[in-house]
Amino acid sequence: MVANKSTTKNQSLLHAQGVKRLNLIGKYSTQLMDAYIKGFFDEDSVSVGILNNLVDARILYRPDATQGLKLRPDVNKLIANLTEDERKRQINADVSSPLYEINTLVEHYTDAQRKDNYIGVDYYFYSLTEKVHDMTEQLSNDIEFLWNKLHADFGFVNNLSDKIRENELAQKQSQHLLNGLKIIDFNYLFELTQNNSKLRKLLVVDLQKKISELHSSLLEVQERLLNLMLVFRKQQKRLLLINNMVAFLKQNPNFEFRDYPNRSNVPDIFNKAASINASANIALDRLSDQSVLSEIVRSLPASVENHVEPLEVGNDFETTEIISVSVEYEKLKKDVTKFFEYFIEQNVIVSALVYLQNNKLDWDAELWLFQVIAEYEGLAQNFHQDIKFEKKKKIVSAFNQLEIIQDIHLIIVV
Amino acid sequence: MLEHGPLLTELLAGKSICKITDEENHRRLQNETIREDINKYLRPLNRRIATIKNESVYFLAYQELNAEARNHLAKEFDQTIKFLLPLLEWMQLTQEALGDDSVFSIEDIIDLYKYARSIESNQALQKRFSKLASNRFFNSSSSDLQNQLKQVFKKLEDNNYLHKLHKDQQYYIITGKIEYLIEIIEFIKEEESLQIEETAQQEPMF
Repeated sequence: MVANKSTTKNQSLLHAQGVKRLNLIGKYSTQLMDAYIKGFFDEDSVSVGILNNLVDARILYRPDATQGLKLRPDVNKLIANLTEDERKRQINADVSSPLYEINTLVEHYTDAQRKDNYIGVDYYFYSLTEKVHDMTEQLSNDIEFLWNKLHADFGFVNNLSDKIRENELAQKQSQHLLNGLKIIDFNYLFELTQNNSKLRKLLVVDLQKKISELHSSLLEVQERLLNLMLVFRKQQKRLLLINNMVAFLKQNPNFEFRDYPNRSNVPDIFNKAASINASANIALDRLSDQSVLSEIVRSLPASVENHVEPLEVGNDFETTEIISVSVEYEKLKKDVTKFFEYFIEQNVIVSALVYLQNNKLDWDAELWLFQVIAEYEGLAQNFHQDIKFEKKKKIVSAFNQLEIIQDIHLIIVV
Repeated sequence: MLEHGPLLTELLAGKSICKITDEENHRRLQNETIREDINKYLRPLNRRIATIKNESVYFLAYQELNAEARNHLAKEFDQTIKFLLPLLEWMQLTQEALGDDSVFSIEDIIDLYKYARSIESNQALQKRFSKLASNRFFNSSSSDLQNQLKQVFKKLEDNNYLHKLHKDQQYYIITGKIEYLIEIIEFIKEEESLQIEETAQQEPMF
């Protein structure tokens, strides 16, 4: 019982001291953060008394007489963790030492149990729970810290060589953590609990569950780190290739490359074919398209007769061009109308092309046939029954059934 | 075959299909059955679908290398070699300007504003950039840095090395054509057994 009283007393002392020192950190947080960033503490920023307090409180220390005051490594670590400063955060997990402590605490616990010291039993069980929690929490933080580095794509350093080094470090740390997890021997812990179900739940069942979670998270982070490393290496190789090729081409401006395009085997990267233009023209060989096309033909430039005076101010060139196109089109239309008049008077089959040649008309054959078709389409429906209108076609491509109209034969069928 | 019409037209027009400029068609081309179907169609046109090692870009190659084909390929090759150095120099300069090492893979993003600021604030880089901008490939006649930047990025966009996601934004995405270019220099390096040292020093940054 005496031992327990002194424990309580020690705890309250510890508590008071902790509060005092934490307050000290809070009160001089600005100066301490400056020291965290600059690497040394500005000794003129506080009084000598405070300076001594900070040293006594194990917040600052002087590595040797020639150097200025610095933050203790633990304080540095604390700040790095609080600010998630990935440059300075470190992997701390050491599994073996908490395991020894757990071992000792279990011995205290069973001892207290044997002596029927119930307060001791409760106290040591509480300490054990806390120790196990601290250990898994530390491991879990360290793994989370690796994940953070990974998610940030090592963006806290900005050149590739640094990223590669950081990744290597993270891989070593993950391996270190993994080795730490392997130290935990559940068979040993099982024996240690000696059929005490409360202890067994804490040290075997719950701990095993937690450690197994951490283990799979760690394996995954390790795999991702490795994959990211491959990406980094690929980038590094690529940069080197670019830089080296630039240097080479500059040093050898007249370098004669081999004749890759004329090799028997041309690599695909040098076999990029010329473009093919998939152009299309008006085709009248498909009945279903004809009405659409004749619509288009009808909407072509209006006749000269309907032409209004060109605007006085405007682009002369463009208007003349439109007029000349319209005039041409009107002429073509007139010639085709004449052809139709001629054919109606005949009682034999008339070829549109032969008429074109015989009359020495200066129209392109395709344009001529096109207009003949348009004229025919434009006739009233009852005329269509009276005329046999035959398109002479020729197949030009077997692949897409493309046909060309070569000539048009007309005859009155009444 | 009908649903591949627009893709065929693009391919025949000489376009390179990558997931940055044409994600859907790139996905289609990753399907072997579709590639076989299209190849069947392309055979009478003496074309076939070709790609690079990482399949980030697809294009049409000649099925049979007749004289006409080789003639075209020789011209293409000359062009490639002619503009190799300015393109690589641009890549090198960009890497130095942005200080970020991951800018030369498909999907990497270049922020034009950040790029401009970085060139502006470094005399040596600015000098090199101006010299590069006046190269025949980029062909800028301006002595003003902003105009030079505009011209260089426009040229890269026109030649499909960069793709602008939104018309008014300053972000450019690297397309599969850069991957294609990298594969060309990898190939040349191997084939010509260029004695370029693996550890050759980079040009100093400043």
